[in-house]
Amino acid sequence: MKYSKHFLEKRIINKNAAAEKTIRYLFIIETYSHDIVKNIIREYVLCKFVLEEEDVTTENLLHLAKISIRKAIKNNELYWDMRDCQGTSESMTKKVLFIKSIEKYLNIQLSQQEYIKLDTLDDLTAIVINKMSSLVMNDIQQ
Amino acid sequence: MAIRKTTEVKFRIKPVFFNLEHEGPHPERAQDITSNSSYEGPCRLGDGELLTNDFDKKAGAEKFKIFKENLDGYPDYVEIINPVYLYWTDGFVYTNMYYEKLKDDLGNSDFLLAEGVLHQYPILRIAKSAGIASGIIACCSTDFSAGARKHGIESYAFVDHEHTIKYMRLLRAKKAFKTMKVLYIVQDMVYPYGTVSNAELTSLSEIHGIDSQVLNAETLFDAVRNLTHKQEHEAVDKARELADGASWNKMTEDNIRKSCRLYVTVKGLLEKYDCNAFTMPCHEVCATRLFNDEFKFTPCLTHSLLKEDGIPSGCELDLNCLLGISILENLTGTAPHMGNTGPYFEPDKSDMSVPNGLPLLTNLSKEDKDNVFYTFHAVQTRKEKGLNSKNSKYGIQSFTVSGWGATIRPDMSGDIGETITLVRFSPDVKKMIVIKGDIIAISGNEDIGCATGFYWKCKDGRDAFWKQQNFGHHLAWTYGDHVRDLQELGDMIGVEVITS
Repeated sequence: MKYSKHFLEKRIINKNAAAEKTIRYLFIIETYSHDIVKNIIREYVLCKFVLEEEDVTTENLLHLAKISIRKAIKNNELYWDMRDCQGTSESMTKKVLFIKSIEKYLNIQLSQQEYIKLDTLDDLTAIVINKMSSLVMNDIQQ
Repeated sequence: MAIRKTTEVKFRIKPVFFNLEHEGPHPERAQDITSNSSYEGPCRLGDGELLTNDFDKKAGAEKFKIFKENLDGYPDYVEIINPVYLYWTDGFVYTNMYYEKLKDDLGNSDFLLAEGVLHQYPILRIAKSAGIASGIIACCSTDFSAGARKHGIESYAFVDHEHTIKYMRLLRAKKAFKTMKVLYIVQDMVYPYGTVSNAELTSLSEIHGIDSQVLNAETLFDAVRNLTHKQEHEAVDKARELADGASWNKMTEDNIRKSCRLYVTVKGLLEKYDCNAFTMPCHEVCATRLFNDEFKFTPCLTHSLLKEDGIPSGCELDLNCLLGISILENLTGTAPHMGNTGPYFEPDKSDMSVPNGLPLLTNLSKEDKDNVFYTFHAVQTRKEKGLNSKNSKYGIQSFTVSGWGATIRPDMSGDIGETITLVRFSPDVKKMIVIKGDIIAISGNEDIGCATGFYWKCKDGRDAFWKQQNFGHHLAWTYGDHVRDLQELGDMIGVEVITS
């Protein structure tokens, strides 16, 4: 089934809005338990990557980015996950931009060393909890 | 000290991912001195977050992760030394700091392997400082290889990691070849009377950096006479293993044991003199009568068993063929055979005999006859299809009518039609002949003596024989078509490869 460009754009806009709404929950939950934070982040991933529950066959962030791209180009075998002149693939770009969106919304910054350890949803959850807890502590101290 | 087998040599690589992290316009060049990394250009297109320094850092981290994951898939004979991430900025300033960071590891490595972004220049500078062979994967790799070669650096271009792995095999074989040290037995002469095309020991050293240890045959035989109990037991066990595993056996186990005594002796001497390849005279030692009167062995089984152990070993002090055995053993991971090789054809032949008592081949077309060669010597192995493979089915026959001098006879009956590659170095060791053929008939598998081997067919027998005249009569061979690999390996080693 072919979707119109308008339909797809609207879908992405709706998903982005849903994503923004989801990530804000991190500011209102009372405790940063791993499971709760992970659920929020997981929902955020689904929204940002425009994925449905049945698409999520892995918790690896790069693989989820690849699934997202494959879905967007309707599983076209001939053209997907191309690399640019710097050797950066579409899925890498997607993952990096996704992480940067989290940094932006949560006002946190991941160093290159921290980023390099980010493979799965669990890894991301752990680092978000760590960063958010530090932010809360800083706020308290101030 | 254990024998430093060339087949166990590891190829040590230092992997570097060298990224380009845009920081912003050069302060001295920019109109606006405010640091701002967001600009598009020839290799970076996009907008917003894609043009930030942070994006470059994170994307670089992601690519470094993939780089390391790819390295995990390299074969065991490649030793990976601490992959590192380095970067420079769009100021394009290279300093010696990069080399200093890598210096210690590079000193312990054989190869600098790099991937990255606009990294040809820094990798070239590092390679030059270290004087190390290098290669780049993916984009712009041929720019690096050409540029580095211009500076006298051994360098290579790789398409991707799969391609790199293919060449790691050749590079390891080259390193293994260069780490040879030959135990060279002499009997009142330096060069053999039966192989006048033989290379000079000094040529091996000067041209290929291959060392040797010359030992008098009398020292070898004294060692045989003075084996330790442990060595004698080892000879007994080896003889039993050979006899028990053979599908047919024309020798007594005791006579096999006598041949094994030379094998265990040579192994001991290889260890003692830190050698990892072996050759000894045949005719000259035979003429001392010691084989016949005292020891009741020939070197044949020793050559076979050493090759099965991953130690190149060749007949008749033929260094040129020994080099070929070493190349094949290390490139293909097999225990190659070697033998007298010559053409079956002779257009004007008036009698029906073939050299050395080999059986006639009937039912050959004229065209086939012109392209058929024979190869025979009694030094075949049970591992001609792979050092790590199960032993092939084999028999044992004596070299002599008297029943001593054990030789291994693998069952080649299923190998008709199999492609083989034959190799030999030239007398000046600056060239290597490589011939491809297909086995067409087996010969003398159960016969006493040396005339055991096979017939094979090549594309142009006249061409092959014409070229062989510059090389010699003993050729080493193994299964498979390795011509292309040998051409490239020959290039790496610095020998001209002559093919037919």
